[in-house]
Amino acid sequence: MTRPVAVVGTGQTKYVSRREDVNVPELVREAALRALDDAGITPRDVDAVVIGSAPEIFEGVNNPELWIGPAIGATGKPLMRIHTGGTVGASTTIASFYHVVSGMFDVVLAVAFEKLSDGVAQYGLSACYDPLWDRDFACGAPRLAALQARQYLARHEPDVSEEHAAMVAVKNRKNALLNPCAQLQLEITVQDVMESAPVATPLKLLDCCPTSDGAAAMVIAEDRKARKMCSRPAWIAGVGTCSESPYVPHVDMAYPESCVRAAQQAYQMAWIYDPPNELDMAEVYEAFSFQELIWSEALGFCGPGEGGKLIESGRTAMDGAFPINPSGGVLSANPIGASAMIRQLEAAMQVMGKAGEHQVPGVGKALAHSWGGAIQFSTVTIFSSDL
Amino acid sequence: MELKPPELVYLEGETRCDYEWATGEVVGVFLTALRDHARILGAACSGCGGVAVPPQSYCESCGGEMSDWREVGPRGIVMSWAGANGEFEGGPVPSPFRYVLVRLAGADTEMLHVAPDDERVKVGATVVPEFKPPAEREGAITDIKWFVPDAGTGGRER
Amino acid sequence: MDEVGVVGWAQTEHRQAMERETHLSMIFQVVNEALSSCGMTIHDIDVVIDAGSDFLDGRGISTCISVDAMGGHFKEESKVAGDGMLAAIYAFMRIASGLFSTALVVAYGKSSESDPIKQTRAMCEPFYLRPLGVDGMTAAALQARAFMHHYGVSEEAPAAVAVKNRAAGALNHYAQLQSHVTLEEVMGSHELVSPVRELEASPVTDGACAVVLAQGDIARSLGARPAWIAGMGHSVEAYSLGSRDLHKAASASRAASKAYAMAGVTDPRSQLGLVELSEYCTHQELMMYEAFGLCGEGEAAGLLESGATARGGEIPVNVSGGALCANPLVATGLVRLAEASAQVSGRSEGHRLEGVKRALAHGAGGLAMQSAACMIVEE
Repeated sequence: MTRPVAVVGTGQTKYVSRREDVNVPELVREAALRALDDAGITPRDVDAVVIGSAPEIFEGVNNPELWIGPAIGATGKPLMRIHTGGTVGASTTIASFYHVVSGMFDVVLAVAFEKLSDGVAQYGLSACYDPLWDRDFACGAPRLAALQARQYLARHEPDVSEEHAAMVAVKNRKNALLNPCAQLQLEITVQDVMESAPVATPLKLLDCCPTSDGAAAMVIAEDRKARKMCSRPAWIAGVGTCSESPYVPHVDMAYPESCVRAAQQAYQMAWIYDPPNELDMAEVYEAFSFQELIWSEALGFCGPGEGGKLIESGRTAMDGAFPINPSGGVLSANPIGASAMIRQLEAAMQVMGKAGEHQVPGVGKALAHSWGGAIQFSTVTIFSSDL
Repeated sequence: MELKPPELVYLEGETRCDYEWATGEVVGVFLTALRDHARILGAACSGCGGVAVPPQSYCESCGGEMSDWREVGPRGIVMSWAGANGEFEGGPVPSPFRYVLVRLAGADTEMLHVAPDDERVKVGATVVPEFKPPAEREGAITDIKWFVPDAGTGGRER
Repeated sequence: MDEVGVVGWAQTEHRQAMERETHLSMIFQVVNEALSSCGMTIHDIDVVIDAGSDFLDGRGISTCISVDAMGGHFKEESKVAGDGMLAAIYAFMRIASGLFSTALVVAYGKSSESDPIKQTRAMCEPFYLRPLGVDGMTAAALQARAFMHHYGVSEEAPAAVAVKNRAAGALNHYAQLQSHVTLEEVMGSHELVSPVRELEASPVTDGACAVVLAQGDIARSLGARPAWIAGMGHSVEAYSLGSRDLHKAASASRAASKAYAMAGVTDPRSQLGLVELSEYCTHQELMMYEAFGLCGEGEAAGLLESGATARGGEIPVNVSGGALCANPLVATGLVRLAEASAQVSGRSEGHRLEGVKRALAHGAGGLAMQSAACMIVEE
């Protein structure tokens, strides 16, 4: 029988484009202390620490976990850093889950961060491309996402359209108004999105996420200690990750196989057979508006090509039957290394009943998703209010 | 067309990135004190009481909050040194020179800096900081040019 | 604790520059060999955990391109940024959770294509260290002098470690350096950063390593003797060199203690048959004799001099030649695990040591070994 493991405390910083008042370790410390406080514990109660962040080139320090560790009480403790690109925030939580479920540790602090303002984000992203084949052509993430959106539209037009993607942007940016941590909080219309400046067609400015500085942290604990620390722990009921070969022409970006498989794995573990009806809400990693439609299909919330119908139905709105991204999503805050953890953090908070103004009533099961790399890494985590 | 085994081909490249690192308040105050006052500050931990130089806003030993400023030095003891020889590249002063770990008076940690390639700079020696002239100081750890053997002068700024 | 065995392994023949190989071909080679060494295929692997360094590779998210060379296509896969031994520890956790039965651990470093010193320079934080041009060698040298001064260790002692390990490397066809050196040669070698001499520091190496872990029943069903994982531990010290007791390897000590407690080892000197440790500079091997409890504080030089840590001694250390004979960064700790596993299972070639029942393997990371990770394997 697998050892029950739960999230018992969360902490995050308010996401902004530049945090000039703190350096990297201080930024991470802020989130970590909030998570420890939320769980009602001190650094002394932590058995191991796992740190996640995106490519080191963003902040310009190699092995940053060794610099940051002491700021979050890791001196003298087991510490490791996970680095899986865009999914890293989630992979960090998942590694922490395995730290505990293996029986090796009881209480683990997981943190993820990004301080993009210290460097140059798009340059850092371009350095992810292979110097032999792609780097001379690559210019950051929006172009890749634009390719993806094009593939998706080409396959399913007219069932899905740019307007459907715009509806995602409108929904999520409005949801952010109720999330005090979100960086962008905008009340906009579909027309505003359609008329916003082109970034990489079909993506327009309001279809795209910002770059942010920020950190997120979670305390993960085993059964007995979890119940002591939290009256309503968010039990980790299902976990799935999948990686795929990177060659862009081979990846079906409009329906990524790695996402489908990661979801299947997590659903199987959590005994979920009918995701859109058994889950109460989801946080998906929509760095670009189209992606929410695409992930909704690959995660099984609707059938292939039905992403447009789903957003039109209103089911995924804050007051709908199956809210997606009540936090405002990545469109509202994107500290890259932390964004995947923030999806898990938000989903966990919903289950714990701690999401404040953007709390969805009665969340028993919540899903958090992330993607990374050249749309080749996917993670799915499912939280539940009961074991 | 006859296919011959290829000669080795190398692709050369450089990944360069420019940064503007935010120091945060505590590091900022420390560097400002170097620049404006030629003074070295340490911070005391509210948890374990240790005075760290150079300071952070958190204590590396116990994870506590740093709470009070303390002026430390100027004298310090060399706790260890390493010799950057004539071929060493990238140092803050021309090679050869020595890297030193200096326990300044009043501090509980050692500060890493540099010293001349002088045999008097050895473990146990007393050293003092030599600051750059005010016009050359920019709010960086290198506002201290280096640590030199204490000739009893106290090592005030030039 | 559930039984997990190290069932297969492979490493490249480490060289200063493997010019005909790319990262991908090195990785592909060791993965295939590791799988064949235990009669498995990639389809038998449930999860791939890898370790790499973006800085060394010169690209962000190095697994973006290497994931299929390591067999991670359509698999559970994750990456640890740090020494390969940490990846092995994470892989163990995956199997010990009961949710996975087999794991492939991969680590690699192709230093010839980059500048390994610069990537240590980049480990320095930007405010107090980077402007001073501090790098890994500087940090190691400061540590060396702190250790040697504190315990009155002569300069001949780290040199003698080099003599011992180079002699061991001469028997190991995987080692990059396969020739003996004399004490005079080491003492006379060029000073890198005083007091560390060139022949006392590990070389620049290209290399890769892959290790296969399997849950108990599967490990037993494979035919070849596994090396059972009996214990492990990992730990870090404070970041700033000035906040650490540089004369002690505190993180190595804690990591080993945790491993000993799990494995029921109370007297390492008599209960271990071999130690494979990652000594980027030879003084660090001396420090670890003490940190691992092979001798008392201040007694490391004496232990070395007695011959106890030589190949035929009471507690052999680094019969593979250690990091001194091949340091493919990132992969170095995983190579130590492969070496320890090979010796314990009786499947070592060439430099085989008879009768090793239990071995400690160690990996290190950061400036002056700020980070340490250990695993104990036994027959």
